[in-house]
Amino acid sequence: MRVRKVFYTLFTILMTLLLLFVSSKVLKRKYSDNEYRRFYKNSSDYEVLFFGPSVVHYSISPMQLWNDYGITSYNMANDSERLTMTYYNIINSLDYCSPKVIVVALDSMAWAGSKRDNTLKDHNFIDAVPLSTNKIREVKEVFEKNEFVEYLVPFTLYHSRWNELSKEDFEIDNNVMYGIEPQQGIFSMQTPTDDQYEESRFGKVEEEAEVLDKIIELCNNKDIELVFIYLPSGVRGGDQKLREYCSEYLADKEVPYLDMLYLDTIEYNRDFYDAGHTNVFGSQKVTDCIGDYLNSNYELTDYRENEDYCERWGNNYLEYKEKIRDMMSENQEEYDALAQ
Amino acid sequence: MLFNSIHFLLFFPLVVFIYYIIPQKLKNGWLLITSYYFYMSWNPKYILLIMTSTVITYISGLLLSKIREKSETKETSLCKLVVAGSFVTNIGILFFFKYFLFSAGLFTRLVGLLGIQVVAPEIDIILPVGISFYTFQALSYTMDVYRGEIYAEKNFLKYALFVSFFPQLVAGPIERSKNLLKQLSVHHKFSYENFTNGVLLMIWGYFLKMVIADRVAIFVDTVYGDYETYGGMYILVATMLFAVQIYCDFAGYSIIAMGAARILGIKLMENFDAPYLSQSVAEFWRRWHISLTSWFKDYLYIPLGGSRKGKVRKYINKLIVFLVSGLWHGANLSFVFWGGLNGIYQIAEELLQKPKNNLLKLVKVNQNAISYKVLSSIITFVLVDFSWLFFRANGLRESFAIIRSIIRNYNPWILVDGSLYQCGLDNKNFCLLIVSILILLIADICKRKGIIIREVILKQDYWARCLIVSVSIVFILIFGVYGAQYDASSFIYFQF
Repeated sequence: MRVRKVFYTLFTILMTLLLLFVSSKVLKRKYSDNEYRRFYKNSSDYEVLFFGPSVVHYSISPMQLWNDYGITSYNMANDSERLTMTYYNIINSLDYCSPKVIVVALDSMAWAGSKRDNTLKDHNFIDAVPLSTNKIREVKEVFEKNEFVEYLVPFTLYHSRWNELSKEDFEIDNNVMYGIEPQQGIFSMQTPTDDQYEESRFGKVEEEAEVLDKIIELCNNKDIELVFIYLPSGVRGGDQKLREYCSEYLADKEVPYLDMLYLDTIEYNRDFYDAGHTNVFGSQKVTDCIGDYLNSNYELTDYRENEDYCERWGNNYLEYKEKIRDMMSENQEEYDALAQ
Repeated sequence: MLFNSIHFLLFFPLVVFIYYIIPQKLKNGWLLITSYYFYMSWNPKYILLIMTSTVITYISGLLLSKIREKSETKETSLCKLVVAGSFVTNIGILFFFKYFLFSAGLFTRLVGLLGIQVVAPEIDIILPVGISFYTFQALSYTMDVYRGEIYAEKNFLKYALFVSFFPQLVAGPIERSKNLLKQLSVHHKFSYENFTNGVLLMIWGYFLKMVIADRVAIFVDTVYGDYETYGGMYILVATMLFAVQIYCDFAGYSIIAMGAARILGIKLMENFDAPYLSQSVAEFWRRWHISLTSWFKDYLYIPLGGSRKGKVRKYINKLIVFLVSGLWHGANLSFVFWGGLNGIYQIAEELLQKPKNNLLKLVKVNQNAISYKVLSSIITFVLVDFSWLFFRANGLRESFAIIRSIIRNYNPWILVDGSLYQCGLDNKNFCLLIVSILILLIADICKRKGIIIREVILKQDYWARCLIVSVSIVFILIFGVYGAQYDASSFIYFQF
C-alpha cells in the first residue's frame, strides 16, 4: 500500500513536470530560440563569433561571410547589450563553442553607466542560453536580485502569454539568418561629424575599460584571437573621444581595433534604416569590410571546400539569399534614386 | 514570506520533509524555529513583539493556574488583575503600532475644532505583519485559562508555537487554544490522507488567490485608483468585483493555511463557509471570517451582556462589536464606518423581521422557494457589497467621493461596448475571470449542499486524482497572476 502511494505521488509529480515542460515550450516567446537555436544545435561549426549591441545584430551577416569567404560564423549580438553582458555572453557561448576569432563591438561603451532600458531585449538573448552555472553567474552579476527567477525560469514571465498565442507559437521556425536581423527601410542623413560629442558621457567609459580587460584576459586564456570593432552609426558619430580612447587603450594592450565609423563604402544618406542602424543594404557593406579584414588577418578555414558544410550551409544560404533579395527589392528603387 | 512566493515554495517542502524525519520530541521545536524564521522574513526586529506577547500570555496563564490552585475559586480579584495585565500590555502594543498615529491625528483634529492647536507627533511606525491576528490568538488563551476552559500550558515551546504557528500566523484563522494547543501535544506521524487533503486544499487556495483575487485586483485597482475618470458603472462593476477579490484573497489565504497545516498533521478551523450565499447579513457574518466573528462573540459580545440584558442592550452590544471589528481591520474611520454599517444592517434586519414575515405571509410568498432564497442572497450581497466600498476606498472622504462619482456618471453602455476591457483586463482575461468565478460559485453551492469537492476528488481512481492535481497545478501556474509583470500581490488581510 505504501509503495503504491509513493508511486501515485511520484507519478503526479512527473505528470505535473511534463505538463509544465510542454506548456513552457508553447508559452515561451520564440524570438530568442529562433535567433540562437542554430548556434546551440551546431555549436562546433563556428570559427568566428560576433558580439555587441544592435549595431552588430543588424549588420553582420554570417551567411554572406560564408558565401563570400567560406567563413563559418554566428552573430551572437543582442539589442541594447551592455559591455558587461557581452562579457558574460562570451563566457556562456564558449561553453558550447571553441571559435578561432571573437569580434566585439565597442559601440555599447557609449551607454556606459546608463540603466538598461528594456528587460525584454535582455530576454531576447538569454532565454536561449541553456541553464548552466555560467548562466546563473551571468544572471547574478548582470541583473537585479528580484529578476533572478524571471531570467532563470522564464516561465514566470511568459505564463501570461496564454492570451496572445498564435500559430507561430506551435511551429518551429527554421531561421537561416545565423543571428543577424537585417532591417528594411531607408533613413537619409548627413555623414556624422566629430563635434557631436557629449562630454558628460565620457566619464563612465573608463570604468567600462575594466570589462574590456576581462574580455581580453578571457580570450587570451582560451587562446582565441580577439578583435574590437566600432561600427557605422549616425547617432554616435561624434563619439570621437570614446573612439580615440578605445584606440589608444587597445593599442597599449596590443589588441586589434577596427574603427569603421567612416567606412568609405558606407553612404549615410541611404545605408541606414534609422539614425543608429544600417539597413539591409548597409549591412552588406559592413559585412564585406569585416569579411575582408578577417580573411586577410587570420588563418580561417574556407569551408566551402568541405562537402558536409557545403551541403548544410549552402542550402541555408540559398534560403537566406532569397529572403534578403525580397527585402532589398522593396526598397531598391528608392535606394538607387539616392545614389550620389 | 508570502504563500505565493518562490521563497515559500522552497521553504514549505523543506519544513515538511524535516518535520517528518526528526523524532517526535523535536517536532514542535522545529516548527517553532521555522515559524519564527517565516515571521522574521518580513522584519526580523518584530520577532521581539511576538515573543513579548508570547511571554506575557504564557506567564499570565501560569499565574492564573497558580492563583486558582491556591484559592480554589474561579474568579478572584487577583485573577482579574492578571487578565487585565495581559490584556493591557497586549492591546497596548497593538494600539501603539496600529492605532497610535490614527488616535493622535484624530485627537489633533478634535481639539483643533475647539480652537486648540496641537502638533501631532511625527514618528515612523511600520505596522508589524499579522499583529492583530496573533495578539487576539494569544489573548484568547488568557481568557480561556481564566474561564477554566483549558489548563495553563506549562511547556513554553509548545505555547510559543501555538502563538506563532506559521501557516496561520499572519492572517489567521485566529485559532483557539482548545483546538490548536491540544493538537500540538499529539504524536504526528506522516499520514497520506492528511497529505492529499492538504495538497488539494492548498491548490484550491492558490486558485482563489492567484487566478481570481489577483486578476480582479488589476481591474479594481485601475478603477479605484482613478475613480474620477472611471465613474458610474465602472465603479459599480469594480465594487462588485472587489467583493469577489476580498473573498478569494482572504479565503484563499485561510485555505492555503489550512492545507499547509493539514500536511503537518494539524487541522485548523474553517474560516469561511460560502458567505455570499447567505440570505441575511447576520448569516453572512456567521459565515465570513468565522474565527474573528466567533472571537468577538466569545470575548466581547458575551462579556458585554450579549442578548441577556434586553433588546436595546443587545443592539448596542452588536453595534459595539461591529464598530470594534471595523477598527480591528484598520486604523481609519472608513473601517469604523464599514463595521458600523454592518452592525446597523443586522439591527435593521432584526427589527424588520416581523413586519417582513407578515408582509410575505400576506402576499403569499413561499420563503422556502429557491427564487426567494436567490433574491434574499442577491439583496444580502448588494448590502454587504455596498459596505465593501468603504472598506476599499482610502478613507471616509474618498468613499463618499466615490459614491458621488457613481451617481453623477451615467454610462451603462460600458457594460456592452467593450470599455470594461480597457481597465487592465482584456476580453480573454475577463472571460477567464468569469469562468473562474463560476467555478467558485459551483464549489460554494456544493459546499452548502454538503458536497465537499475535495472529498469527491479523493474518492476517484488514482489516475483521475493524479490528473486532476497535475492539471490544476499547471492551470494555476499558467493562469495565475504572478511573476515579473506583476508585483507579488500581498494578501489584503496582512495589513490587519
